[in-house]
Amino acid sequence: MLSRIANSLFWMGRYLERAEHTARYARVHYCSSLDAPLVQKKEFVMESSLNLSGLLYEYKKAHGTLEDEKVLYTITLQESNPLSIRACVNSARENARGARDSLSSELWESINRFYHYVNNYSEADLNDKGIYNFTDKVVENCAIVNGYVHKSLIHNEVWSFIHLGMHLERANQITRILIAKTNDMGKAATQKLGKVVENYQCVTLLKSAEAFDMSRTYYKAVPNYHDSLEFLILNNDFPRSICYNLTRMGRYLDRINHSKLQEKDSLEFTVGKICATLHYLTIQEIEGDVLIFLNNMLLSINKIGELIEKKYLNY
Amino acid sequence: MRYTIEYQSYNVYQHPVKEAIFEFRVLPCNDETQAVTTYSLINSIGEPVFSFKNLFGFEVNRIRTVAGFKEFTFRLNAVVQKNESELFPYSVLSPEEEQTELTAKAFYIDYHLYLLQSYYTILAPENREHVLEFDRSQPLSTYLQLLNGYVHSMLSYQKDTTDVKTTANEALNIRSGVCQDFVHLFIAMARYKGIPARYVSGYLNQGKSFIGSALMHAWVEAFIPGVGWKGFDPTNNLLVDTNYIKVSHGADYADCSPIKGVLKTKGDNTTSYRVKVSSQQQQQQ
Amino acid sequence: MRQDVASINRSVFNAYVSEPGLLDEVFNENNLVKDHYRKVFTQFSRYSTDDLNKINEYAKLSFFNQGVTFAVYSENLKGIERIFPFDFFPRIIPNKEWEKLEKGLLQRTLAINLFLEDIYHDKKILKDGVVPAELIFSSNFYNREMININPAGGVYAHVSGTDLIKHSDGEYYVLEDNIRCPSGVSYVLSNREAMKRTLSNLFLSHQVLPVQDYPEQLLAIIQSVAPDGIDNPNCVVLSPGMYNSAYYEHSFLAQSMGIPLVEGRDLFVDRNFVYMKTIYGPERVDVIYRRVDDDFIDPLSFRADSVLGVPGIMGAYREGNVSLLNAPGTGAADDKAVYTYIPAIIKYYLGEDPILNNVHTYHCESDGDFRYVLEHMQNLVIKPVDESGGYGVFIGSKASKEELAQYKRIITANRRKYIAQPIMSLSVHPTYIEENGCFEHRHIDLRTYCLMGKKKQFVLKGGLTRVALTKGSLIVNSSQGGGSKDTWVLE
Repeated sequence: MLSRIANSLFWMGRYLERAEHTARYARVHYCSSLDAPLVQKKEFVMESSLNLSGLLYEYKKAHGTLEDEKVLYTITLQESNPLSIRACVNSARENARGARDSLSSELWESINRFYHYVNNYSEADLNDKGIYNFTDKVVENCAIVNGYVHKSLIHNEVWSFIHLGMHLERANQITRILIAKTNDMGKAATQKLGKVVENYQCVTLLKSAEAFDMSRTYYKAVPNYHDSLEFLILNNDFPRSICYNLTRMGRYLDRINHSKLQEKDSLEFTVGKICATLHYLTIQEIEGDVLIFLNNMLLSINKIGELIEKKYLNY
Repeated sequence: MRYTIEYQSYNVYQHPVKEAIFEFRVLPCNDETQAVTTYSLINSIGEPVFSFKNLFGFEVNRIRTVAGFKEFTFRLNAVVQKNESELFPYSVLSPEEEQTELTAKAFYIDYHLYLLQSYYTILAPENREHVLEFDRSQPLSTYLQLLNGYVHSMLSYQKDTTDVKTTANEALNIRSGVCQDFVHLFIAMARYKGIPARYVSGYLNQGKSFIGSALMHAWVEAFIPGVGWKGFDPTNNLLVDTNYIKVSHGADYADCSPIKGVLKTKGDNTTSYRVKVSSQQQQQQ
Repeated sequence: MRQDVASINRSVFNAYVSEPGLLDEVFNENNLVKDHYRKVFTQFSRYSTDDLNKINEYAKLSFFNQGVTFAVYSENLKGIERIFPFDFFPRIIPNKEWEKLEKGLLQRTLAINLFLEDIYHDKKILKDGVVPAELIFSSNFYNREMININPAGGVYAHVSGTDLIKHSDGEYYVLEDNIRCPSGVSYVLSNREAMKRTLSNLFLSHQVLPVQDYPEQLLAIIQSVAPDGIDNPNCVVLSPGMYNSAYYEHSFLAQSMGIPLVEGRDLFVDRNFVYMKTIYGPERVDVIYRRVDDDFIDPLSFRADSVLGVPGIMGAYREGNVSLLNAPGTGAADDKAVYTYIPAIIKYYLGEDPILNNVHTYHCESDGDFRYVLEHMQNLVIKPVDESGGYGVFIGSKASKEELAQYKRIITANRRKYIAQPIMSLSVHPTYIEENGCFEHRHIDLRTYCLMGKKKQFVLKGGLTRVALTKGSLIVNSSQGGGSKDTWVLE
């Protein structure tokens, strides 16, 4: 396979996943803010959403104050913002187009429909129907595309590169969400807001990762920070935990890799080492300094992305 | 006469270069007047040098790399043995015989590469009146020598008024330029008169205070029926002799540019080169 | 009998008027249906306007679903993807007529290949004065880098697209040769596909020769010209990328031949061999069917600003380490000024009379011809020799006084650039006009496809019938509002 095609597939996966996470995060936060405990002001929530997508600085430079509609527009539809949902979907489609010959027509058409849907959605529609409608459709379209990725492709390199992109981006996004929420809670803690707020924050955290239901069935308790962290970082079987995603990446990399020699600091070695560490880590060890752990994790994930590019995607 | 020649090119890039391919046309050629005794090619990124012959049969040295770099140096060291050659470009045929050959259809076809005007040598219609008149009753060699002096007096040697893209027409408009511009103007005029002329790049003996010897030099070879190709240096108004070490020839500068490259990078770059040519008279055994 | 057939229901043909002086492909001078169109005509006559609209919609849908589009870049930078308009009334060519065309095309292509080999080697034809040397050397497409190169199998023009018309005298004439990167063949295949999906029953009553074997034949031609000593050549299609207007065709051909579609940035040259960048490292490439123009193919040899090409590829080609289809420099033979010498070229190399007619051409460069052109501008088509796609074409009969005067100035300023031909009347063919809900006649031509490899040759049965959809227009190019028809050669 041409490296350029592999690159397109990898980034198609990443952009799809990124669009989904941005959409869900914005939706969950905005909706939960509507009936949040007193101090959970909307503005606080807005800031959190912008923070996740790394847009806060740019936004403040452009607009100054945080206003609902502007923030939501920036995150969702603003084309000039390369991190908006629309920009992600456009990039995903552009990459799919570049690799179209490798995709099934079902998969291509589902991406194309997604693209047309997002691009026909106007700012007026957004103000009119509200954020829920739009983000819901984005998440749903992502699920449809994922469905075709799963069941309409041969499970070969094409499939592996799309998945590598998706898992890498998901691990990345989950880590970012955890960082953003940990920061939020830190702020809340200084204001001595107590259990209610912790519970509220944990619910939004889990919902943002589409993990709320599964975590309740798993822990059979009201969500707390400790359990939420453990669930999203270390759970072996939950498709949205960091550990799960990195482990899957290891498997896809093994499928692609032809050489059986494993060199120190090679891509496979690096992923394997991180996975092995996560498998034998306890949440108590992480809790000492969560932010340091998460920031290191983010660096490791970026490092893996670089190694994949270096080994397979250069053209 | 023996020359030691050093050519060094130094290139700096603002951002790392991901992928690059360089071509150098700097190695002196072997012909009846000169022979390269020894040479070495060294580059700062340690890539092997690949050599091949271009359309005109001259050696091109190519380097390709994906190593990633911000600086690139390339150095040629060569020793060249130069023989005394017939200096004076005489005509052996009568002017009539020369004209018969120059105007023959087959001659035009055989020498078309050096007769067709190219991007560098086309003169605007209003500038064509400046082309030196060719009295066809005189020997071609005489005309070429006159043309050499004529072009020499037409332009003043000035750096920084022209660049590698300057055409003969533009140089003529501003009446100045460097060796490359003198050569293109000579070629343009010769070709307008139906005389095959080609661009030559090479090195000039640095011990003689010739104009243009600090860098790579350029001169002309024009074709005289019955004799062959003869060298003229309009920049210095000299005939080409043992002070001239040829690298390659072509239709114009584009065929002879010392360095060409295609790179994947962003931002600015600076590129510079220097040349050292020293001569020693052969020691008598 | 014929009368009965024609009177079944002519409602959708009611508005159809044959115009005197124009050759109609379907009706003869007495307004009767020609034999080879009888069955198709009968069937269409049975349909109502509603039926035809349904067929038309269905055919369009087939193109949407196949994703057959071309991009138009005039309005905005992103480009708009459009469907190439398709007309479902097939153009039918009787076998006897086709056999002569096919022979003529092969003869022409063979002669052009010998001509190219000659002008890049001994130049005998120039020295013998059959073709003026100046004409070749001053052509924008004459490529010095090709001098003394020996392409594998001695073939230069592997894929040629010759444009033919049928004149009012009932004869076919060659209008131009396209031997750089002729395009449009994907439409031939998708037109046939659309036709089969839409009007399958028509195929039951006709023995239509297939076109679906084109990709297979093209692949065989590509493989036949692999560098010496390569048994199982690695072949690729080189495209300028997805923003090129013909990208659909590039990807279609690559996919149907089962070979990779690459862009310049996927390839590199090392030690005069060409490689493509794959996930498992460099992989050698032996044959490139390139759809990138000469100028852009190698920034080290040609346009230095080209990002579509592969730096150093000409070196690899000169060494014989990679084959290019078509060879660089083939444009020196499809220049419209060279076109007029093709009959002489055929005689020179093959010692045969040309089977296909050339349109008489006046060269503005020659004084006598130039005078004739100035005096007869109203009756001539004048065109620049080095443009394609119908740009810069001047049709004398349609021009106003001011336009005549202006064009006179333009050609006088650059005589070498212009040639003139008598206005050929392209034949007309019933074509379904959606807005009017009936068939009307429109001008058509025929783009044929001829392949030439090492000891292999092939002519696609039929080709692309192009329709000038604007009433009275003679310009059939897709970029200027043309459409196309499925073309049937009957067994």
